[in-house]
Amino acid sequence: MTDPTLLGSKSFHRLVFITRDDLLAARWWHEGMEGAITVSPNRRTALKYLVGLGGLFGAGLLLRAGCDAMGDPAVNMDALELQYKEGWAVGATGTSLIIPDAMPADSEGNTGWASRLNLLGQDLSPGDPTLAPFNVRTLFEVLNNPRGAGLAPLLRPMHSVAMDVGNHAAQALAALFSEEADRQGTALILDMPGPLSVAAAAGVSNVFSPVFLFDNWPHPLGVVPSHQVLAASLYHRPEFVAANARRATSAPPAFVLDNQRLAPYRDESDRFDNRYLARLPGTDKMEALGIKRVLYVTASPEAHELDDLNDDFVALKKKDIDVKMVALSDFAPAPAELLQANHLPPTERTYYYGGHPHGGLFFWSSYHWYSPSYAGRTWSGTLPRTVSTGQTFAPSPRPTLFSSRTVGGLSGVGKQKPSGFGRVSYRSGSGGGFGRSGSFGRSSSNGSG
Amino acid sequence: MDYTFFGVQIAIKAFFRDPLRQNLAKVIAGSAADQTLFEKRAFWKKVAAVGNQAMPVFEFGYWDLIRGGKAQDEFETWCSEIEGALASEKEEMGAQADEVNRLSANKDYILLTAAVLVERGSNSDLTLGERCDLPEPDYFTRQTFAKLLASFPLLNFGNVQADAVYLMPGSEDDGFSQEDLLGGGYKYLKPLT
Repeated sequence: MTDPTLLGSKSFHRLVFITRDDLLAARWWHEGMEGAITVSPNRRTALKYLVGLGGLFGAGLLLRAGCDAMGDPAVNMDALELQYKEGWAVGATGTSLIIPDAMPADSEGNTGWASRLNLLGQDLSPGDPTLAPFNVRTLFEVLNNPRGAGLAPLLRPMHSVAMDVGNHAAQALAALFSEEADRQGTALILDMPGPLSVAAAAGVSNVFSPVFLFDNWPHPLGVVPSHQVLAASLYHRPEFVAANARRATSAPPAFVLDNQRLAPYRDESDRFDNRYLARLPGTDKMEALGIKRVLYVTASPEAHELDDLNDDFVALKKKDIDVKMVALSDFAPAPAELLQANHLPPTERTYYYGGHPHGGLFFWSSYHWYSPSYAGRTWSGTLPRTVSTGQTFAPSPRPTLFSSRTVGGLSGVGKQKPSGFGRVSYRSGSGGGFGRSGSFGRSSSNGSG
Repeated sequence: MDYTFFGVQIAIKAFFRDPLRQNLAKVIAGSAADQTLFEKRAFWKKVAAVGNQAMPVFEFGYWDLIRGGKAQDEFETWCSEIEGALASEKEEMGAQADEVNRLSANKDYILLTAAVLVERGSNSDLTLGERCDLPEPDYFTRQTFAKLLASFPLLNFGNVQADAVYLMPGSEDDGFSQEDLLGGGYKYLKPLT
């Protein structure tokens, strides 16, 4: 027999309601019985699946100002949709953005960069129309969207030492593919912290056509500091524009990702879950682009790709598209004595694979990729710098939260986004504020969770 | 606290002008955002009653009862994987996505999914245990699935942590073909006898 007092005090609160042609759904959460909400153990369980990533489950934002509205019904929605609806800084309007290593001018020394802010997305679009469909302009479009009002005055170009190093290392990487015959059929995937990826993209942009895949909006309290990606893009914009004009229209793609898109997120009550998933072209599209080999570029050596790319990489492998990895840390300036021995001017600005002027030979031979330019050339020296083992990498399926769904859902469409990922719980009403959604976006009227 | 997960998914043959989908949609869409325990039971009574009218044409199905351990994970997995269709909206590109999703243009089936997470050891858990205590040959029969669907309104919702119901497709103009259900992401569905 049910306790009558329970019947009076308990109720189910709907946390998801979807009505679309392909799905009608409703999901409720029983709030009242969660005195000691069991969200945390569940989240911890989820974390076991997330090696090195921390909690991907969970979403939400608790703004103190929203507490008055906690009694209002909560609407759980995609973070980006909420920003489209309420503004990029929803719930944190007036909060400043932190841009480390902010600069007054861009890479060409222009201080008038602000006058072309609204054209940033256009300037960074791939020049090649065959690559244009894969360019994700979500992040750059915030500067043209009325809901992005107030963001522009907070932005500054950003340029850090790490970005500078990454840019030079990326130039060295691009130099390995400087001959058209060598780069034919090659695609790069640059997957590093956003500003570094942007700097690396600028570094390869004379050879490869950058295709940006930044699919969120910044937020002052964002889990993903995407405003820094915008700031880094502002700094490097002149290089992208110049390279676009210079580069052959048939240049192969360099897909540019921010590896913070899957940043760890647990229960932080003062953060906005603006995480997102990579949207690489499918294998059929890669094939149509003539891609035969993919080089996954990280900042430092990694064991494998980020979780949301696993299905994509495995699918590429099945199509005989060779996927290997390389780290930007594999590239470094050569020691002065080596430069002298090779009759090269002393410089710290030119990087080489393995820190050796002939490192390119080692690269092509160890990756077992055919290069007309390097074919037949041998080199028996040793590299002064240890390089990663990315040449032995081969994608293999592994269970991730983004693996293809096996129950219920429609097969083979994009990726499965864990529920709660990149979602926030929004409470409309008198205060217009927010409630915190706990694990998986469940709302708790008592604010715990 | 430990939980028990119970989930049922049924592919129901959809006939031309059959009001089944429409009736189920009406029940789900008409449900209140906030429900008392009484309203919750009434809601599930309607779902079970409307759904079980089609028992003779339950064609494929899958059910699962998981106690403790991974029960919460399983509930979230079912929900997130079904709602994953929504999450992947951006990845879908025009008509091509339809080709990927659907192997055939036939619209023969609708898919009803119900899932619940109850307190382990509660009377609702015991109810589920009793309802699911079936001889193995009966695991995948139409009668079993009707019985399982009818289990939801029998629960004491004071012990229920979360519940979910899904109807696919959401439109009267659409449906799943047998090829859809026998391939791709629905291979786990068993033919019901």
